[in-house]
Amino acid sequence: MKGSTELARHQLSEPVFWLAFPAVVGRLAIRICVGIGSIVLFAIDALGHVVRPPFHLRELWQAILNIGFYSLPIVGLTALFAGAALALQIQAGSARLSSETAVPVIVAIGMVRELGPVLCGLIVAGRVASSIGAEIATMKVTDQIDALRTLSTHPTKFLVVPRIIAATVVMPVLAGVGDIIGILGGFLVSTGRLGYNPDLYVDFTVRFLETSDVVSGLVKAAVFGFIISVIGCYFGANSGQGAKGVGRATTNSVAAASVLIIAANYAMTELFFRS
Amino acid sequence: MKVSVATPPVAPDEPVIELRELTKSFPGNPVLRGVSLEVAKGESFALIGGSGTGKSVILKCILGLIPWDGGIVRVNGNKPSLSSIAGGARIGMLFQGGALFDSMTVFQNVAFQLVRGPGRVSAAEAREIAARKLERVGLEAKIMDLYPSELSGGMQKRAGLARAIATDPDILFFDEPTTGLDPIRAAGINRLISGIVGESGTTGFTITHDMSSVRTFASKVALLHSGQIVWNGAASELDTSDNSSLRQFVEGSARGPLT
Ligand SMILES: Nc1ncnc2c1ncn2[C@@H]1O[C@H](COP(=O)(O)OP(=O)(O)O)[C@@H](O)[C@H]1O
Ligand SMILES: [Mg+2]
Repeated sequence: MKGSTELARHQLSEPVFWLAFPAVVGRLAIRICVGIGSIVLFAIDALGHVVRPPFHLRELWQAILNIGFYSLPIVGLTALFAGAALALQIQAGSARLSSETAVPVIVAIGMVRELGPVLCGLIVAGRVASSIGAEIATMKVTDQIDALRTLSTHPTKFLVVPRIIAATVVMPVLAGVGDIIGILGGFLVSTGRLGYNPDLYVDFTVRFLETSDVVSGLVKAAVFGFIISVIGCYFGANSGQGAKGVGRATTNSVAAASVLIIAANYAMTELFFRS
Repeated sequence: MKVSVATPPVAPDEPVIELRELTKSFPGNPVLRGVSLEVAKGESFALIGGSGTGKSVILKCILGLIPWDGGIVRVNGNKPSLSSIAGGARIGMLFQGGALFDSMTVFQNVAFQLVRGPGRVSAAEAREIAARKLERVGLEAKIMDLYPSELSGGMQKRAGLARAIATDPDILFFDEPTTGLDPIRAAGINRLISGIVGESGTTGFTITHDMSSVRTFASKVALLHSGQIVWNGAASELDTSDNSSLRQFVEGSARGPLT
C-alpha cells in the first residue's frame, strides 16, 4: 500500500510540476476576473446610492477635507520636483534637436496631460486608498458597520458615497494645482539653470497649451479619484477578520488602485489620442 | 376609520421575537440546527451558551444582518432583513466591544440617531437628551466631547449603552455585555441593564455566558448547545431544574453533556 502511493507520487511529480504552472496562472486570471467583476458590481451599487437620499453632507465635507485638502502639500511638492526634472530631461533631449521651444511646451503638455493626473493619482492612491481601506476594514471588524445598520443608517450611503463623490470631485482640483506647480517647477529650473528668458517661457507655455490638453488631464484625474475611492471602500468592506484583515485591506487597496490607475491612464490616453 | 401604519400593532399575546426551527450553516459548519424560541413583550430574555455555539449568529439573524437557511424569524410579526433591520422594529443594540464610531465624539455617537432621519431633533435638544442618557448610564455629561479612544473599556460600553437607549427603543439587544470587564464594572453594567429593560415595557434580549448577568436581570433563559435550545424556562427555575446540561452550565463544571 505504502509502496504504491510512493510510486504514484514519483510518477506524478514531473508532469504535476509542469501542469502546476499554467494552473496557477489560470487560477490567478480567474481570481482577477472575479475580483474585477465584484468591484464593478460594488461600484454600480454605490452609484445607485449616490442619487438616492438621504445625503450625508457632513460626511461629504469631512471626506473632501481628508482626501483633498490634506493631500495638497504632498501633491504640490511632488509636482514641483517632477516638473523641474522634466525640464532638465527635455533640455537634454532637445539640445540634440536644437529646438528652442521644446522645454516650455513639452513641460506644460507633459504635466497637464500626463504627469499631473498620474502622479496625483498615485500619490492619493498611496495616501487615501490605504486610509479608506483601513478605516472601513477597522469599522467592519469592530462591528461599527453593523452598528450603523442598527442605527437605521445604510453603510454604503454613509461611508462609501461621500468618499466616492469627494474623491471624484476633488482629484481634478488636486491635479490642476499639481499641473500649475509642476509647470512652475519647470519654469524655475529653465529660467534659473538653463538660461531661458522668463517672458518668452511663459509666452510659449500659454500659446501652445490647448484647452483640450487641460480638460483631458482633469477628466483623467476625476476617473482616478473614482477608482481610488471605490477600491479603498471595496477592500475595506470585504476585509477578513481581525488586525490581519485590516492590514491586508490596506495593502491591497493601494496595490489595486495603483495598477488600475496606470491601466486606466493608458486606456484614456488611447481614447483622447485618437480623437 | 383607522389609518394604516407601517408596523401593525402586536396583539398582546403575540411574541415580540419568534424563532421557529431556525437553521444556519457556514461552509462545513452547521451552526444552528433548528432553534425555536419566543420572547414576550417586556420580558428580559437571556440566551446562554458556551463560546462559539452560535449565540451571535442567532442575534444577527434576528436583526437581519445575515441571511439564514431555513425556519422562521419574526420580530413584531415582521421578517428581518438588511433593508428592514429587526423587521423595522424600534431597536437599540449594545455591541460586545461597544462599537462606538471612533471618528466621532461621544456626543455624536450617542446623538447619532437623534440628529438624523425622520424624527430628528435640534442640536441643542440632542445635547440635552444625550446628557440625560449619559447620566442614566452613570457617565458625566462632560465626557460628551471626548473621543471613544479617550475612554476606558467600561466607559465605552456605557457610552454604547447610552447610544442604544438614546431613542427609547422598544427592544434592546445586548451581545455579551460584561465580557472584558472586571467583576465590579460587570456588576455595574448588569444593574444598569436590569433597570433599563424594566422601564416602560422595554423588551430585552441578551446573549451571554456570564451567569451573574443572567441572575441580575434575566426573567427568561434559554440554553443553546450544539445548534439547539437544550433547556428553556424562567430564571427562577435555574437552580431547581434537574436538566443535566443546565446544571453543568450553571455550575460551570468541565464534565457533563456539554462538550
Ligand atoms: N461570518 C461567518 N463566517 C463563517 N463562520 C462564522 C461566521 N460567523 C460565525 N461563524 C461561526 O459560527 C460559529 C458560532 O459563532 P458565534 O455565533 O459568534 O458564537 P458565540 O456563541 O460565541 O457568539 C463559530 O463556529 C463561528 O466560527
Ligand atoms: Mg458572540
